[in-house]
Amino acid sequence: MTSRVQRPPAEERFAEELARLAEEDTGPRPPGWRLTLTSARTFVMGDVELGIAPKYVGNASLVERSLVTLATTRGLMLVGEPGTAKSLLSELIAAAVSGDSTLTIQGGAATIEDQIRYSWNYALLVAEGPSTRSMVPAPMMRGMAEGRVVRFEEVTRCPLEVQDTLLSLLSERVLAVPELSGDDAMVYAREGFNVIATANTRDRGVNEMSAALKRRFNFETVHPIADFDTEVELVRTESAALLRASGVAAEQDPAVSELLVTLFRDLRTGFTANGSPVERLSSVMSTAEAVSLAHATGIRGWFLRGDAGTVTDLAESLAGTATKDNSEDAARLRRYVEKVGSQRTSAAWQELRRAHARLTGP
Amino acid sequence: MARATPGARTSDRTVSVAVVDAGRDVVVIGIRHHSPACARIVAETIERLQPTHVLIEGPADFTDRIDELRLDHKLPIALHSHVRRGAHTRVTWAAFTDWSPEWIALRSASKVSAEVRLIDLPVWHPAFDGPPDEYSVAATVLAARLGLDTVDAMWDHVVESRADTLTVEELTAVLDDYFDAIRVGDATVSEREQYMASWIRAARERPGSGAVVVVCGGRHRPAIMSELARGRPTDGFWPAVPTAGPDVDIGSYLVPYSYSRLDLESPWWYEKLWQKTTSAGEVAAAAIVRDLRSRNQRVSTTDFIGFRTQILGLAAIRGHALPTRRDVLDAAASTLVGEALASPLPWTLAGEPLGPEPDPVISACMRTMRGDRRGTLHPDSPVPGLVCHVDMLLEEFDLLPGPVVLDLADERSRQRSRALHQLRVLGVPGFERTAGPGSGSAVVSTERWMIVESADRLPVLVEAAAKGHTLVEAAGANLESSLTSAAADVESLAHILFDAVLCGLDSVADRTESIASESLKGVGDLGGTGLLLRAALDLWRHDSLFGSRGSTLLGAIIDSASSQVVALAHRVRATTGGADLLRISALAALSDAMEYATEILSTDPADDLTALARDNGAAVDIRGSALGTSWDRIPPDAAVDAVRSIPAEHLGDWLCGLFGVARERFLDAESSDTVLTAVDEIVSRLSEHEFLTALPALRQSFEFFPPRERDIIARRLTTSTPEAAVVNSLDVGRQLDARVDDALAQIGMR
Repeated sequence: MTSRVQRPPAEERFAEELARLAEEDTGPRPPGWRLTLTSARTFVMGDVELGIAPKYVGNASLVERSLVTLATTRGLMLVGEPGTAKSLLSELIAAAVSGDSTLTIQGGAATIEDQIRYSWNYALLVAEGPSTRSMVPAPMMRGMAEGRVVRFEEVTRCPLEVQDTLLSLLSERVLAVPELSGDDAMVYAREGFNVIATANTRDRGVNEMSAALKRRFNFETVHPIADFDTEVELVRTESAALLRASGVAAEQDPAVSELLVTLFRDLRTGFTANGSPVERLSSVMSTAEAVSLAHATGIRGWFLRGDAGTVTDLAESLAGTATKDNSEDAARLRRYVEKVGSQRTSAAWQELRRAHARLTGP
Repeated sequence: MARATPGARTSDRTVSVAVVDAGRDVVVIGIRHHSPACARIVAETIERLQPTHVLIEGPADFTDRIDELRLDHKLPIALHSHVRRGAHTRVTWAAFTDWSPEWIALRSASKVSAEVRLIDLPVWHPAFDGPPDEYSVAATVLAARLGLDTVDAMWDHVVESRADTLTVEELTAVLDDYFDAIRVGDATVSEREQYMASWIRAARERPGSGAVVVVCGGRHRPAIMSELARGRPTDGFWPAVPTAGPDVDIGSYLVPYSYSRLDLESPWWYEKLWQKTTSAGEVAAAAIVRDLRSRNQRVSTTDFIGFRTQILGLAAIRGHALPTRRDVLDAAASTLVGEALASPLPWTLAGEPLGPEPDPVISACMRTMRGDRRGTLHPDSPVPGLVCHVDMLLEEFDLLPGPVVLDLADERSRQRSRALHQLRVLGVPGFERTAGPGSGSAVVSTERWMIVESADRLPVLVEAAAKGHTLVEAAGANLESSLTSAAADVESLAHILFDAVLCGLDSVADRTESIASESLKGVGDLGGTGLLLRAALDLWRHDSLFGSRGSTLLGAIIDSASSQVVALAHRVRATTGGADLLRISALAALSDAMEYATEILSTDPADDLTALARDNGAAVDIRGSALGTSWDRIPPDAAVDAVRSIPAEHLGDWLCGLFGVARERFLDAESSDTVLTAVDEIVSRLSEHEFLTALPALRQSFEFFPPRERDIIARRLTTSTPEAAVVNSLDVGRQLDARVDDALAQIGMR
């Protein structure tokens, strides 16, 4: 058994950077914050001169707006398509602001109030009655008591009444525990507490969210990466890191990631780079999905044949991605590969065209 | 004055300040257009140095007319220049706002009685014809390095946000660093920069010359500085101003401008920055909230407080002493938007338009920051000939504001209508046709117009003057360029040609013919070409309303559309689909053109069509139509052979083609009886199944005949067959009616 953790939280992965930034920047910090606003921004966006690695690829002004929001009395709501790095951004910001990104609630249809506020250790509760000892604080209570940022992932997937639990917490900044008495009956939020919620626009958008709750958040829409080269570079570095972690020693052909990103961008936007229209897929064609495809391609090549993975491997994985949500998409993808592949002369595109035709039949 | 070409948004917005001391002060100020910070530097530098010369980047040939700029205009205004070589026109605008550094230079120079000269090459000079320089690329790279998404954001971040906290010297140093960074690694000195430097040297060396202040685009400054440092000798005479050749039509006029037309994202914001009344950020926040509330968007007091707090927070994290435009916009997006946005914030994308349905908050931000100020010119400002010509025409034709009703059958009314259509085609606002004939076949002869005064009339006319000196010339040039851009889109072509007819331009502009013919050659839509041919032919033959009968343009269109119909008909190959009425009509139009416009067809398509009719690979309905065009010249035997050569299942489609083109000729021709008999024989031999398959198309084909002719055909057929007596449809019908009546009477229902 290996003792290596698959993915340590951001504050552990970048512990050295966080410590250095906290030590070097002596400027004024918002109350309860580990870093100044500027250092938090530097931590997320990176700074070559300071030796801070860039971690989030995207709009710097989005990060600035998000940080300023967290320093105010409103929560931060990150909305966007799946795979646009909302969760990564929320993790990095929480690590920068509170030095802790683990106070996380994962929203879902089965999420209940207990997972947000507090629940009880029933053995102790029966034995001793309600007390701070028998109480099991959930992330929101801990975040308030300790003055930290709480992350609420996929908040819109929770039932509406559960979402509304956040209302009084965010406006009154106090959590009442009616079972207890005295000072313990009220948990007041300490400085540094705030909430970063994420919501994706695909399954259940923010439209159903109550107006009262919406008012307590500042909304930031995270868009797919606008620049082609940036996206290719990201897919390249991220998939390379994943492949190294999976024990793959071969370097992937740069043509693979370039083809992949071109294809994803075309199908995501409905236009090729030169502006000619193509059919959009309803499946999610995010950068994250592209990274995982590049990863799968490399894994197939390496563990099946010992090479770096070819466009044919990519075609195999691609068919699965495109049919995830909608079987119509498979037909759209086939038409796209046929049409665009016939116009692009590079070896990679021709290989994709042949492989895809073989896979999907006539 | 530096130029901004429409479409090249960020490419040419720099103009900076630089300092050379060569015994006497020569201060070269590199500026960016519409930058309040640069304007401040210019004003303070001129006041401090009291120069004898102020040299401004701008067309040297306009120096003689510089007094026009000194009139009491209300800004924004623009200097609109055009260069026309043959059919090619290039126009440029150099806009002035109250805080344009060039404008401030002009004003400040007057105050200190300095001599003002414009020192750039004239706009017609070939130096302007090349591709735009690399400024925007270099600036974009620099912005990305600073972690900013647009050059505008970088400018605000580097310069405007500090303008109030730095001294003029410090700010000048910032500007110089900025523009040096953008031009770094580019040591070339362009022709324009050499020319500007020659003026600066002359000003410096002139007897009695004192300090010289130069105001030019920031990106030119490094090159001008290095050129000046070379110390070429000068005699102190002003450089020669190049003059344009006789083949070039040039003109420069001032036009009123508006904030919405400025090549600047948020003029209102920069106006507030320049006025420095209170904090621009606070004023903007209040204005955005007011705008939203006036449109019934809910913005609570808490939201407003959140908005203002966010502005200050963003300014702090970005190190801005005063909030910049981006701080305000970003804060609004953070605090006032309560939904997921469909597209990225427009101010994070340089020059890209708003999406189809932008969020109301985003729209309010853009609208408020843009502002709606419009400039006006002093009444003494010169205007181009076209403006006077239009004024004269409107007076002569009595076209005053208010409703105008015209009867096109009347010659004078038609003249008035044409003038109005020419103005409409030029896009001059205030001339709207509310009713009137919409096509050549319309039966109405009355046109109704509504004329209103519009502030945009003058600028549009001044700009239209680039295309011609008279209304007819300008409208003709406009139609030509529309024709060129419509390319092979037959619907647009038809639309534009009808406009030409309405404008009475159909026999005026020679080149229009060749452009239209050329465009038609690219059209791939047979049905559309047919409609165009039909419309052109009808007008050319019959029109008296628009006065286009026999027009040369329509003649040319008929000729090229006819050739195109033949070419496209050849391209339609046999498929399983049935007859296509549109393409049959196209051949019918062609047939009419061959009959009634023989003299203007450059080639007779008859032989081509005969070959097409025999082409087994061609679409069957087209083959029928092709044969129809020469039906009356075909001997009966050949006609019957043609019928028999068509497979029974396609016979109906073939007949559709034939009847669609030659219905009248078919009945008149001596071959009609034998052909009908042949058809009857083929149909009689069909099996039940084959008959049912062929029936719909056969029915469709005989629908081309009106009922009376169908009756004639039925009679001819029945007289030639034994069952003749039975098949009198009318009698059979009567008998059936009588039987029904009897039956009803028997059961007491009658």
